[in-house]
Amino acid sequence: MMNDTRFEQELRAGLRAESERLINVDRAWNRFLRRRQTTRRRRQLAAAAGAAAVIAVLVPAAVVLLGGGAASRSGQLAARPVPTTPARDAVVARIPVAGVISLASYGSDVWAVTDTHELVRIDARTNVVTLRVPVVGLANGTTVVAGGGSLWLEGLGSFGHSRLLRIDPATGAISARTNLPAGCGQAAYGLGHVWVLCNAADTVRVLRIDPATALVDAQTAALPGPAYSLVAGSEGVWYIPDDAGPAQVDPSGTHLTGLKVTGPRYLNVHSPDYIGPLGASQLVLGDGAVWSLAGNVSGRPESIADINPATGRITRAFTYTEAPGVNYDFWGLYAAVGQGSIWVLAPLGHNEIVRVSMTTGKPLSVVYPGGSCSQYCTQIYDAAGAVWEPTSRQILRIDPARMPG
Amino acid sequence: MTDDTVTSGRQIPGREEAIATLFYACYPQLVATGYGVSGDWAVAEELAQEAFVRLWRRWRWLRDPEAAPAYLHRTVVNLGNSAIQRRVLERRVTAFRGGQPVEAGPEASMELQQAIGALSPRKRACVVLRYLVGMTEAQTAQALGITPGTVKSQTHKALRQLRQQLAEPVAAEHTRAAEAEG
Repeated sequence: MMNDTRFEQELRAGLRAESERLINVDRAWNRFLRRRQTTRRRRQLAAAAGAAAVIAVLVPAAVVLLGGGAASRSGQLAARPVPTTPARDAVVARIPVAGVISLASYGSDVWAVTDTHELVRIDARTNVVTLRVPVVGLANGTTVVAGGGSLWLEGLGSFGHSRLLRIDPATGAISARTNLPAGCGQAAYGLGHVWVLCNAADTVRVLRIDPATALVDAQTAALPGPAYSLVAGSEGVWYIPDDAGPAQVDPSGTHLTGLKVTGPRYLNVHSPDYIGPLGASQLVLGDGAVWSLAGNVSGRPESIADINPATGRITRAFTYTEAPGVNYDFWGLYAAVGQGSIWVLAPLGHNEIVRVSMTTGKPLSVVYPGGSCSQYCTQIYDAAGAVWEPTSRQILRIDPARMPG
Repeated sequence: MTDDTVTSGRQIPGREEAIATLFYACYPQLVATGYGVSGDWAVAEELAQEAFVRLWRRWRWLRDPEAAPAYLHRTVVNLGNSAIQRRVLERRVTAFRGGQPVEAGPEASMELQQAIGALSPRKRACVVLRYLVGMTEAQTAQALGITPGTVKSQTHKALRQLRQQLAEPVAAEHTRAAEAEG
């Protein structure tokens, strides 16, 4: 057996040989020049068209507006862990459904889609699996969306195109297939329609689909993109374009509302203090607000801002306060909103779920449900009056009533 | 009009030259960093390209140009750690390849690739930044936003896992070499 030194030397040599074989800097530079030109043309076009998609990013900068602590100019929050009540019996069910990649509620059922492309129905009243059906032609990493009397899944079309599948919730059978351009995904349901993002290299369109016909009935022009997060609900349709803050799509589906997100203190992407690639990494709708989650900005811990969907005004914002013994680290923020609280998943420890006050941003209670995922667990849902966390082997159901709030 | 002209029409002195210098100095390391967080060389190139495009756009807002390499590394790490963004980049990679498979490497490098790919993202990132990019523990910790102690422990565990995974092929190779010599 080799000693560490020799092994490390061989590892270093192997990796270097591999990288030298694969990386051609001249070719990469030429590609960068082409991409840069494309980006510049796109941005000029966007500016000329008056596209109002570049909105300030929601990062509460130096002050915790409502109960968080103080942040230094250099960025690190001087926050002390806040005592948090452990909730030992909050996990009320462990449902044996493995490899869940997305989950949604519909009526009294919870639906999950798995990495083996199986659609699973769970009766949320009994926590019993009532239906398992394989779905052919699903896209890897699809989300399951419920709304308009149906479930919706992202599928694979021919020649690399995308496809939206409408599913009958009574049987789990496909009731319609909608062909979409390549790069479409991130389906969401809100305002009586299904919405999808369609990414091209540097642009994005938002498509609106009529759930009755499963046909596209409206779409925006090409907007600056790509975009990574689309949410829809009674709080409107929102997405996050790259390099900008959240943008609101008009209910007509043809253009953006132009709503500008404003707040008393926040950083935007053009601030010298901003070093992260995205200002807001995730949007979560709930309790009448749009919650913008941001992590890793200027070395600051994760931040959460509450946007009024009608005015764009940030009404609450706080830098996340740590609970003792909970390891958040740098992997981002995974959260759901509901039951009057924000539910934050801390994937690096023991998949802790922390109940966070919506008004103060302070952690109130924590549950250590155990379980693991192939890498890190990143999913948490508020559905059917409970909080759900899929792990590799099962879905954990957490009863909010058993977590002090 | 030169490439130093931004959309507003203002010149940004020195940006072109500075970016080119940075590109040739940092691009291989950035790709390596991208490989560390993604486990895929093609995605890693996308991550590095994206980081430079973002730097180019934001050059005028960069307070300290010497911080640019750190900004680039941080951008690659953050982009690579976002599952959603990874998916968009992977689609872009597929389009860029034009449906062609990635060039297959020699058997030995494939074994190394597989072993590296089997590591958790954090272990992989630590190993690649330490042994391919050549960062110190402190630099790796800064790039990944974790503590030096975590870098040390993750690297140690990763090396142990790699040694176990690569032990059999290496032993077999030594046996074959000994047989050939004998």
